[in-house]
Amino acid sequence: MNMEPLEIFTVYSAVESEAAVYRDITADVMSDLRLASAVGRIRVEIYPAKSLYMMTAILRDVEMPIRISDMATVETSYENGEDYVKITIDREKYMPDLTRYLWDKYTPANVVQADRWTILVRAEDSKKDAADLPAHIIANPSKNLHADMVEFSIRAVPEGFRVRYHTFENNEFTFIASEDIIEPNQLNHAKKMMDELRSAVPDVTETKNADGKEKREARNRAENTEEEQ
Amino acid sequence: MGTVYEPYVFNGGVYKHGRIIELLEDVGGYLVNKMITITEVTMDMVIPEDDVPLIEELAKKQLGTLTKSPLTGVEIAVVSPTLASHHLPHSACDIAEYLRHPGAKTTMIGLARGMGRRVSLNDDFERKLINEHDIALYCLGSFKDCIVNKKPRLFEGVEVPIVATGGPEDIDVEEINGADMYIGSMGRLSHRMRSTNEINALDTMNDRVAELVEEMRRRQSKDPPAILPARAMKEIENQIPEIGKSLAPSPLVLKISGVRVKLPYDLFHERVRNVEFDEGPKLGEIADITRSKMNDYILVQIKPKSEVGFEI
Repeated sequence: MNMEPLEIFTVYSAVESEAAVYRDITADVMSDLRLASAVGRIRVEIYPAKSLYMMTAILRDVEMPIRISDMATVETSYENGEDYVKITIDREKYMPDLTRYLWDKYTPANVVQADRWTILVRAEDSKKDAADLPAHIIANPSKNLHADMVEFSIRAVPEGFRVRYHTFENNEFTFIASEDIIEPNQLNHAKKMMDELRSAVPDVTETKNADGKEKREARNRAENTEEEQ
Repeated sequence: MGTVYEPYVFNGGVYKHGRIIELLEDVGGYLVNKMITITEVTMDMVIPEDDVPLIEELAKKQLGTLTKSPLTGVEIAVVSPTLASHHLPHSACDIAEYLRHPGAKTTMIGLARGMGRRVSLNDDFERKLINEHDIALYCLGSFKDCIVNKKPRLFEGVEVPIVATGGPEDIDVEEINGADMYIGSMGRLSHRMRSTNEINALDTMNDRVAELVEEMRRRQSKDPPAILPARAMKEIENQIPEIGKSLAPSPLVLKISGVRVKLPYDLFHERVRNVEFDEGPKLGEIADITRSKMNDYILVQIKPKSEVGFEI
């Protein structure tokens, strides 16, 4: 299903102001874990008197593995009498992964970050390496998504709700937490929440809480795709 | 009628700040805490009410500022139901940090089993530790149902005034069993308190806690401690020089009716007991000196005038 980031983001609680607080908390945690672009639709329901917290989320189509060519341009360069592989960064998001990969391969002593957007690598055969590097996979966002979603739920849930249940199938994530045993009717309610979320029609104004940078990236990607078409 | 003291904080340059201390001692005031950060100095002090303009004048000459700090000499326990990420670092740390601005000393206490609704409770050690403070401020969450119906269990056995903070604004303090004050708009957060509303809520908290302290001091003035706690603190500092070697950030903490001495009880309690005053009595005669629940420190609780029979 094609979705905008956070096209549906609703939080329900019996008291409206408490729902607003939990909406902020959910948005903050999502932003901390950089999940705003991965989550398409999310609904949270909180019943404090019953010590019950339910969250259903539909994730957007998971990103493909990231190659160096997806985030940077690689070429050879001759500076101060030495041959280098010059990496010019286009997308900073995967910088830690790229640095980790280069350090492992060339050792930190041979990786010089000249400025924010440029990395120079001292390689034995810089021409060969400059040709090979772009195809290397440095990050696989889908691999960490399940763990991140669990982390997200645990951070967002009210404190003390230690009985937890979660499922993650076909990009659909359900999480229930309570202080008591989770009952079958609560599971059924979560399923119903998921069905409603799946069939809901998004309101375009709902994307306002998406993380600014992620939203911008998503829009740029969408524009690029349109141009290509 | 005895001298009335006012708490103030001086902020200014390190250069010649000793002149402020000298004048303070000359007028009979007490330096509570001094902190030097590179070229700046912050000094908490209590000044006799009539002599405040003198110090103010000198502070102005030194290009420093003298501002009233209503919470100087108050030790507050900032209690969060647990040490989990739901409370720390936001908002409990923000609250503790903000209470220090007007001069309070804060202790962060995370309860071992305070989480949730069904199981939340406190234990004997925690109750005793909280009771060593002047005020207990509980950082509670965002659900009214929890604050009103479940969390008051955490107040059981706490004898010092209790301030509860939480998210909902529409709770009346009478609804919370055991609390003396409720401050809203400060519930669960997962970001630093920095927006206008959040800073306003913290300002309100400081004002209201200051009101509570004023009320506590007013009540105390009817039967004051046998000696001014700030004076007892000064004498302990003068007569036990080892206090200067204590590695605790503030080795002597002034409380509303006592002092916490951050030295090992077994080694120093006799010497604290034998601290002498010019008028004759020793500290042990006019104060209860006990072992603190906090790191085996020494707790000096000055007895009221009615119990000792005189005031010095």
